[in-house]
Amino acid sequence: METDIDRRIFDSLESGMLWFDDELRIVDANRSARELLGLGDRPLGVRIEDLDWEPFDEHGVPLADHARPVWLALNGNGETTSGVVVVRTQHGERALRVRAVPVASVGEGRGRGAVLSFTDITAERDASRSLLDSEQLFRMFGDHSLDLMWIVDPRKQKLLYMNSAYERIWGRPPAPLFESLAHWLDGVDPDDRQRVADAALHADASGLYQSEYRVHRPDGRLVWIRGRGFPLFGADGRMRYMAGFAEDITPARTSEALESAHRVARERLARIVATAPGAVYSYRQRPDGGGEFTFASPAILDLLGVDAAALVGRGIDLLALVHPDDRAGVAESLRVSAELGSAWLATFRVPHTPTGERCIEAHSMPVREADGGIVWHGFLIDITERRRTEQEIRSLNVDLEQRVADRTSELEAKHREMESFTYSVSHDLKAPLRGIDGYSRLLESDHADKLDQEGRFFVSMIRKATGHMGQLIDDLLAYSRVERGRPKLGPVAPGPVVATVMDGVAAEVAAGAIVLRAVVDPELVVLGESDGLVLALRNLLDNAIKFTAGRPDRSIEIGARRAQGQALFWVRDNGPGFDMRYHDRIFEIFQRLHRAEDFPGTGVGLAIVRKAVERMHGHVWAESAKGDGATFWIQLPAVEQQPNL
Amino acid sequence: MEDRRPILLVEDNPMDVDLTQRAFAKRHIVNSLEVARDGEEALAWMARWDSGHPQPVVILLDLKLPRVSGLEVLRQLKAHTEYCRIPVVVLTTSREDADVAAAYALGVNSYIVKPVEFEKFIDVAAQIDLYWCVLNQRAL
Repeated sequence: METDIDRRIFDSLESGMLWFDDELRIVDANRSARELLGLGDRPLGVRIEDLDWEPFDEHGVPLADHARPVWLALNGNGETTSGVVVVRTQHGERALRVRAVPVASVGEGRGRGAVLSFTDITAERDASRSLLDSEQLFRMFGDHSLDLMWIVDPRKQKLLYMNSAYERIWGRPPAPLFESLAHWLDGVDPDDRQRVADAALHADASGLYQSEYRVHRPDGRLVWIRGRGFPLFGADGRMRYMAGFAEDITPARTSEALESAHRVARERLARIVATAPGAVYSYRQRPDGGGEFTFASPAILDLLGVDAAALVGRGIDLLALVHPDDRAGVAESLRVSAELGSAWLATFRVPHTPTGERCIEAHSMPVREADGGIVWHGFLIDITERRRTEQEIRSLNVDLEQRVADRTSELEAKHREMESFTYSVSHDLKAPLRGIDGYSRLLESDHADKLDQEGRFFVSMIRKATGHMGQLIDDLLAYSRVERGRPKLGPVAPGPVVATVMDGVAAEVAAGAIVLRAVVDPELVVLGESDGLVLALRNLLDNAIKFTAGRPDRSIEIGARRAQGQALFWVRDNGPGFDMRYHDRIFEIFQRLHRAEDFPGTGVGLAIVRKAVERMHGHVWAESAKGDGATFWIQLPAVEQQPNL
Repeated sequence: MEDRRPILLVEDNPMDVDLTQRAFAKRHIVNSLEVARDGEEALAWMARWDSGHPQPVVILLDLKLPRVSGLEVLRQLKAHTEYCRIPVVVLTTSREDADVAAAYALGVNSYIVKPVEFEKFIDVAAQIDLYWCVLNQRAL
């Protein structure tokens, strides 16, 4: 110590100061050093080793001499060294922050040495050590917590602490969160994101928040989180940290969601049941065969006549409510439904309901139960009115059909009557005609000599008229004999028909030097009746022969071909033709367009043609230009050709 | 030898009866012509045959008859053990298929439609004479 002033200055320092010579003997110590190290009145000049101090590093590891700052200062290259040295003295363990400075001289007459200054940081170290302990405890505590625990420095917007629950609940690594708190929103459901962000923002101001939200884990699972945050205040009463918990409330949420879904479903069902037409029910058949209702909507009273409360779970078998006549059918349909697992659909009567006997329709599906029982869930509807309407419609239909049938048979009877009238009139006309003919013939043959020329002329006129009337009656009979009933329609080849017709007139054709030509499509098959077709064509051919009479170049063509899916027959002649103004009238009975002197006839032939064709569902028509022949057409359905036949 | 037994004509129309007689006369048929004017009378002839009256060589039967129809007469004749052998020729105005079929089903020997013209009537008489009164008997 150079001066007293220096001395006083050194002693006034709070830090301890020790002067060492180059052999690590304590040359001097200020007051603080003496007090702190408990040097007391021990004489200076002692070696530091002789002080019974045990030096340790700050972790409590014994400190080797050469690691000691003062040794380093003396033996180093003249640099200041510093460190923490723990010394155990009889006064206890002291932790010292030490600074050792090498000096050229440690006092008068002394060589080089080192000055060691130190501060007692024992209290500070103990405090920090206890803090460390509590932090370790806290971490252990935190790591065993199922809930997430976190601490944030709101000013720096930095996550200070978070336990391992984050990884477990969020399924994400925690590192990004320590980088930026913005990752807090990672995986939060888009619908909840804004809410979570708002809550956090609000919490920045108050430090307090609570919020529930959904998080989508990377593995696809959805978890429900309930987060709670609160402020941690410093000694000055200002918020220093924000801390909080977050718990996985998925199980609670899920059951809540299920419960809510169930409630919605129950309410929906109740509404449907209340508004559904008819009644909804569950009917159970026990393994022993007995049945009972396990559920029924209130409307069941109207349908089965039993109040739902009195029906459900009271062991009332459905069959007991069914009309006795319908029980066997219902039992059988239930049996089939149970056996096949198929829908049960049955109609039965229920005799006793508030509105009397009702007709019920049951719809349901069976579900087999573990114990062998079967439950049908379905609905019943009242179809009494529908049944009644159906019955009415049926009886109206039956009535209508009966009336149509009556009217038809009435018409048929009238028609038959007409036919038989025509027939018998024709017949009965023949009897007197036979008399007229017979007696006029006898008059002519046996009594001609008694008559003058005029008398004989009269007789011949009577006989001519008789002949005409006979023809007329025969034609009328032929017309009435064309049956009007259902024809036996079938495929007919036109070739043989035309051949038959031509054979029939062969003698006349030969006698009249007529050129008769047939043009028949050999592929054509017509749907008709052979006899009817022969009759029609024969009459048309007779007609053509008649109307070509007297011409030098008589020519007739008969033909058949296919046209637009139909069969067309024609008979064409080069006779005088007819005025097309009357083309419809010529097919009417007794209608004639020519004078009898020119062309004899009764006007029945073409009427027969039309009747014969129409009963084969065909059409007949004629075309002509006066003086230029006539063509008569018959159209009938053609049979489609099978190419491989 | 020609059979001179009578011919039974069952016919209600007197004019037809007369004309038949005259047609037979024209053909010089000498067999007597016995006439029944309706079905009942025709059936009554069976009783006369029972009591020895000569059976006809042929019966000419109209179908449209008062009281008992020609078909019924035919049925009863053909049901009789003995008289079923008498030839029956239906001589009628009806061409109706049903009548023709019914007559043949009941065992008629021939079915002739009455012609209007007297000449044809005479032809019919000739056929009847030739077949039933001459040829048929010769064959027996």
